Amino acid sequence: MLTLLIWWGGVLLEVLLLVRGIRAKWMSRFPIFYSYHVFILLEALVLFGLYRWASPLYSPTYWTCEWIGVILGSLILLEIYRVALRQYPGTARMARNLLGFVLAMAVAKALVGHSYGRVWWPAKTYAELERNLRVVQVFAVLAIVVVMLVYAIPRARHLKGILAGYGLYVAAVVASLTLLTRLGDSFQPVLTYVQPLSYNLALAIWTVALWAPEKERRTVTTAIASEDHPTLVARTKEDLEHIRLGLRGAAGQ
Amino acid sequence: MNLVLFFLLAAVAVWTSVYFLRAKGVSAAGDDAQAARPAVQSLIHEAGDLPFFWDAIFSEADWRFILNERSPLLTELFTEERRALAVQWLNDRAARIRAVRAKHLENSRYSQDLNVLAELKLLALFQYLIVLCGCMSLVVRVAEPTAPRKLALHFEKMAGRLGPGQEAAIPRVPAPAEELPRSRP
Repeated sequence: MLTLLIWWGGVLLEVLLLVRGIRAKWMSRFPIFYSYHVFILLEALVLFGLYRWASPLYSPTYWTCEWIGVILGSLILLEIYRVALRQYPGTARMARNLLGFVLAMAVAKALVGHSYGRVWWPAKTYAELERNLRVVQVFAVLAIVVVMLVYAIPRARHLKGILAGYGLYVAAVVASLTLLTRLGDSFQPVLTYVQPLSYNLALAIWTVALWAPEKERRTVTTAIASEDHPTLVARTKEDLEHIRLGLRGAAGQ
Repeated sequence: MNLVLFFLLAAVAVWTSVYFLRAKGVSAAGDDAQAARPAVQSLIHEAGDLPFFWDAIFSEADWRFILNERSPLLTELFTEERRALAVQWLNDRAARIRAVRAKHLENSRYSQDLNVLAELKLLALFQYLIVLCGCMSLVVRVAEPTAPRKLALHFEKMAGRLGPGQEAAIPRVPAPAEELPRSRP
């Protein structure tokens, strides 16, 4: 009964989010994000039908949908990167490098694990494989958040909600799948509550964040912004040099 | 071990997401930045305006002079005064470094040809200097006020990690001991 309640709650929030997105015409701004939700809604309905009337098909369909969900989720991160950093080429380059680093580390870890004879990726179970992919997503979320915070990128309400909601959801998935791979089937009953609840929490964050309208911001590119990076670095070092002159006095001869 | 790492990662992600969600978003770029720029500029260029004043903070000569007086009250007063001055000076340095960093980041956001390695090095240097200020502040609080002298010299060296050409262009600050009238016998 409780599982069904959580499930229907999720479907309701999903429909609410989509209806609001269609009415406010935000689908064109975040096409991948809304495609993800259309997919999740259809997946929920199809899986519900299969569970009730064709249970042998449930498990393979669930895992197929799960992989598509993981891929679409990764594309959401790319969409956030695209929308948030469109007007900031310097920060976008830094984020690209960080994301590339995260991906390179993931591939290197997979190759090293494989060369030592341990199967890391693909993992021993589907759950472990999904956990490992979600770990890469967590690092990608962290990379984007860190870059946005460090460079003080304007954080619009919609973007903040989408990124934070997705971050919370993947963190919950990593934690629950880690427990599942460690504890095995004994954790399965708990997982049936934890994952849908964490997804519903993310849905609630998305719905609240995307409920109110928001003006698209325009950036004023200042004169200094047109400077090339080496000049900028030189100027910053000059500024540091001013501080150093003060220090020289304090540090003594 | 892996279990702990995965949970740690999940916890970091949850904390970051909540922080990101709750943090006040920066308003439209340009508006805030432009309004703040004069303040930041003046904060940066104020540095070095009173080098002779700050020179005495970590002076061992003053400390030795006070110790030679063999007056516990005088030593205590001197320690308190220098400690307060040193903490204020260090806070001021840290604030200026933050201002330089903020200005740099604000401008490099728009840079079309951002050199990632140079940028990371600079960010690491900023962070290192701020941490060093924190360490010196701690040392000043727990030890005698002249204790972080070596750290201050190291700070000086790190803050001046520039090219050799720029190094030569910096005017030397005259030795303050010769300039300042001191209230010494």
